[in-house]
Amino acid sequence: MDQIIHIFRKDIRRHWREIALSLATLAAFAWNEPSLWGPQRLDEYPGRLIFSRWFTPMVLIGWFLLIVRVVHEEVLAGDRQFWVTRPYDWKKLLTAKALFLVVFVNVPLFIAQMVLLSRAGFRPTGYLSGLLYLQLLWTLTLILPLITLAAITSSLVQAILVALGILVGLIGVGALFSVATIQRLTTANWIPVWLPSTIKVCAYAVIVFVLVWQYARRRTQQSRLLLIAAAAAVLVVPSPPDMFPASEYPQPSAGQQRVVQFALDPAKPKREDTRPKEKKVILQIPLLVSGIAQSSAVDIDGTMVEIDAPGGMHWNSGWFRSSDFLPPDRPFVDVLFSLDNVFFEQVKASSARVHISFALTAFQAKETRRITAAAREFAVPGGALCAIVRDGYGAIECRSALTRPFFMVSMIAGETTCPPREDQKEAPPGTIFSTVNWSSGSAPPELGISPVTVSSLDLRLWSRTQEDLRPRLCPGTPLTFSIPEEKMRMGSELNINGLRLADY
Amino acid sequence: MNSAIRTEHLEKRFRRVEAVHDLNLDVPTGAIYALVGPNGAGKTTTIKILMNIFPATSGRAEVLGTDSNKLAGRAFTSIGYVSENQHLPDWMRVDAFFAYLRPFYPSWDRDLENELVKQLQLPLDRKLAKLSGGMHMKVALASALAYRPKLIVLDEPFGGLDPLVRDEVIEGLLERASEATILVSSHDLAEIENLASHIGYLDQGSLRLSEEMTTLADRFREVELTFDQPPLSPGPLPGTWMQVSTSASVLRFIESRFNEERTTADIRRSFGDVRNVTFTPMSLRSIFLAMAKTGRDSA
Repeated sequence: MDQIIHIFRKDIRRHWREIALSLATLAAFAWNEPSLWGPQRLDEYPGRLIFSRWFTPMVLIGWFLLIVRVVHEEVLAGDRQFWVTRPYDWKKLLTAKALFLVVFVNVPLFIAQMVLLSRAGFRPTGYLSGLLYLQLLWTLTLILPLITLAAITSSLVQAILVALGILVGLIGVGALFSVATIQRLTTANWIPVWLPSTIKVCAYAVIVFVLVWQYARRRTQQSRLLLIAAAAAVLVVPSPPDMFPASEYPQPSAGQQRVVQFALDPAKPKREDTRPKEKKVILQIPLLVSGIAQSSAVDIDGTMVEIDAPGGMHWNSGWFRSSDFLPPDRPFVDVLFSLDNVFFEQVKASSARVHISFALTAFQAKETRRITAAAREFAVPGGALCAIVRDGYGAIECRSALTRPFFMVSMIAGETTCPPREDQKEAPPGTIFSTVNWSSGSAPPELGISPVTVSSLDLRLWSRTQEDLRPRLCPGTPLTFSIPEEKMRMGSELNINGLRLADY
Repeated sequence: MNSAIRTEHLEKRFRRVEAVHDLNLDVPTGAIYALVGPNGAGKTTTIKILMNIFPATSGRAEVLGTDSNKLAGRAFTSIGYVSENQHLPDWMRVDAFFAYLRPFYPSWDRDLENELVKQLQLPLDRKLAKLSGGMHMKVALASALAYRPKLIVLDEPFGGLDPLVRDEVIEGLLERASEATILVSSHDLAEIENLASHIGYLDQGSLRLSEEMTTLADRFREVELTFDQPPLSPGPLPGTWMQVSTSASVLRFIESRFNEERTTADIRRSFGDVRNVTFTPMSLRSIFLAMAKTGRDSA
């Protein structure tokens, strides 16, 4: 223990500048972050917004410098360091470095997050487990890999070059895999589903092993080779295609009530602005939606389109993910998919039969509350704090602690407390405007310096023909918030006969 | 006598370059062992393997009874290692450097530290980064002596030192010689001659010679034979004769296994009567120059 504290104290004396820089950037982040919350930010903090995008990279750079420099103080790579022939116990040395990083990275981050939660209007002690989870996430995704990087490099410049190399490599591989042809090749069926994730776990184990091995034995060349091999394995074995779990969405049994019904919308809608893909044609089939009970909602998780054309021609899109959330007041939805150009040219003028399969999740509101929008902030179900972005417009901004809450919000046009506006068409009193703050609900907090999540929500009228009608929110306007709860997953089918694809 | 350091068939390769080849070294406890050889002979590599700074490719080495591969942590409380190319924490002041090292060594002797500071005239209030090369080396030496190590390993400690500092360093070492084994590497033979009790000559990664200084000095002689007339070409000469050369009626060579009776008998056998024979003792420098020139394994 004495040696751990002795090295720790020496590192503080040595790296006070890096510590100061790291703490200053984190403090700057924590000072600035609240200016990004709340709708009044544009008026109150115009100057800060210019710099705000730089605060996160600055914090990360501060941590990078601190971690790499403190590990390099007793550099492991190379053969000229004095400390290797001194009575250092490698376990104590590693512990001293870990202690240093806990004290000057983890603890300040934890404190900054507590302060941010407090400033955001949340009680920090109520989110301790989530904050600790975030600490673990930062340690696993940044701190440990950076310590290992420092452990196999001998200078800051070398560490920066390797880090840049890794970044460039990741970008390059990402670009490579985004090329459709290569994607098809690399997502071949021979890759077992479990293999990529197993390799990633193994690669992470290699990172930890190399770190410990370097401290115990200082075998830099072998360590570097191990890490390169692990990185190569992760990159070479790509993730298998994102297989949609269609089997989790059974067809409703006979007599079971359907949660939603679809029908072809005879109106030819305006096409959404979609970028044409090479050798592909994007089709947009408009559907009418009905049958969603009040205080319910449906999410279209996946879609599959099959086309049968005269002459025995057949085409199947396979399951693809989609995320159309259907609140009860939404009467339409569009099915968008891309079709091979060659097939399209052959069948576009003929009368085709289109079969659409849907994978649906049905939700039921477990809590519904009417809340009057306040002049500044108002609490909503799910633990979020919301505020009107601008009086007379239909947007609210909500912030929450750690995770984004899942809720639906709606207002009735006739209940607005905004004064009438001459430049805006008045919506009929019974018109419902709604939106959803989508979240998978049980997902753990995402990696971030700030534990406060902010979402902007635009209330809208779900209508193809009355898009010019806008909601008007003012203090005193009642809003209905409901928290959906998943009730069931099921499939649904729609057959459309005699569709002329060229019209869509 | 026990060995403080022993290696068996030690090899070290850096890709295609064989830096150390089949090295069998034995440094007796209590010896001042000088490992000499030209630049690039493998001295530093050998020492770095011994200090577990990097591993050997094959073979084994034992330092104070511990496999050099396992040399770490506490084992270094008994070993003082100083090298001219070692990076000290330059941001520290000299006094802070000593203060930092003290807790690592249970046997750190503050009185000895003060004595060394005084003897080597170390500026305690200056940062290591601001010290000259010689002063740097003296600080490193003091920091390696103050805990009275059983083994002191010095890798080219005299490189770049002016004669005055060099003498101070040697003096400092000699004062500690009675309580420690010292292994010192150098390519400067003159410095070693008055310091070492044993010597090993390393060339191209191989140990050409390893023995006590007195034995080495005793067995090498410059021999000069004077004949009445130019000597006839004799038959095969003894293998221990090096650099045989003739000039008119004088023949010179270096005897590498000198024994007056045997060498005289060898001369008689090869040349018959010789008018005059002189045996001249050789300096270390002359011995190694002769060995290097001959390129012969005379050990």
